[in-house]
Amino acid sequence: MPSLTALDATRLVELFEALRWSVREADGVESARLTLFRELLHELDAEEKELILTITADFYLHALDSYQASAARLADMVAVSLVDGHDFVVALPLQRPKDVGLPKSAGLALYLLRHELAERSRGATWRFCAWDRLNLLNQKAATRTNALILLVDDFIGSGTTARECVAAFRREHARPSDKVILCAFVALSRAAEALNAEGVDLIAANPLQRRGISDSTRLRDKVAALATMDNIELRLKLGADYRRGYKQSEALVYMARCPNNTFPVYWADTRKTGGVWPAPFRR
Amino acid sequence: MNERYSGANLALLIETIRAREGIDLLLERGLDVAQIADLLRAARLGGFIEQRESGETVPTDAGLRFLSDVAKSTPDESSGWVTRAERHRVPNIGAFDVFLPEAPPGRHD
Repeated sequence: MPSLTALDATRLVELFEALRWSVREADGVESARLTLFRELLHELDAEEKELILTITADFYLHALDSYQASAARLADMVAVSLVDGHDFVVALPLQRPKDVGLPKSAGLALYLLRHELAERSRGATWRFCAWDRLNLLNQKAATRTNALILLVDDFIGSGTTARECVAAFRREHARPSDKVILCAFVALSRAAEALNAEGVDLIAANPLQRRGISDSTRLRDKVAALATMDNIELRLKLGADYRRGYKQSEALVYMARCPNNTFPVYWADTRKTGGVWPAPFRR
Repeated sequence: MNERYSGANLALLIETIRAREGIDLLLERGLDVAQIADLLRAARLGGFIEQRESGETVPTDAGLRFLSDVAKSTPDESSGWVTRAERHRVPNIGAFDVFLPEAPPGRHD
């Protein structure tokens, strides 16, 4: 079995330090994430280790403690530049009809954004409401005109779900005068580009995330890097849709949990042979 | 230098780099990854290892001398280093040789 060298270990610790990820827990012992990364690297040959150490430098960790700040940033974006021309703003969860009633992270994002926007609407020329189900919009604001509708989620990955939600919203709930904008704490750039191309506006509280290998500025030979990643993924128990991340998103993102758009080497916890894979960001 | 960064651990790290081995022995000695990284940085700063132009990290002459000195040294209880010095070697005995341990001091039967 390949082993971790002292240089690999040092590079890993320096990577954690650069990313400001904790190397130790509060009680001084090695952090669980560092241990899992060490175990992950232990599974890999030299080329695979090099790839993981290189692309992890671009990993975007937006854990729960970042949510409030992202909600505040989104609220500022809405209140400062998007609300012009609208006297009524509504925030709703970005949810597919089949997900209504299920606890999803969109509900958490909406909850945090609601309080931030409510605060900013006090004394403003615009009125603000938030509801946790799309069908409440036409029950509670049937006579609205020229409303700004915010469909909120914490993360937009491939954009497939977002597209489905927007289509359903437009079909079942929207009025011709509604202006619909997707709001996310974090989004992948390819999803934003695809949605924009279809006339859907998206704002994100943080920089749009590019594909971890195909858009990397750190890798010279991306074809070889993708082949190396494919080779690692052969060892994981995965559905075909999840190779290189859901819909080949190639994401390097962790939110409250790990999105399946992220490369599965970081989150898949089962080997093809049935044993446990040391995934540092288990779902 | 505290116990984690003892001469024994430093020697083991340099030897690990010289032999291009993994860190398993250092982990078995109770060091964690961050401590191994600190030890490697200390070895670099101390001039015991260096990176060549090819990118390979190898022990320097000082590092090799340090390894040699440790190999000749007497056992150090604080580090638990098992010396390879000549005077600590026990000659092999055959399967049919009778071995009588020496009596402890003060005991004469």
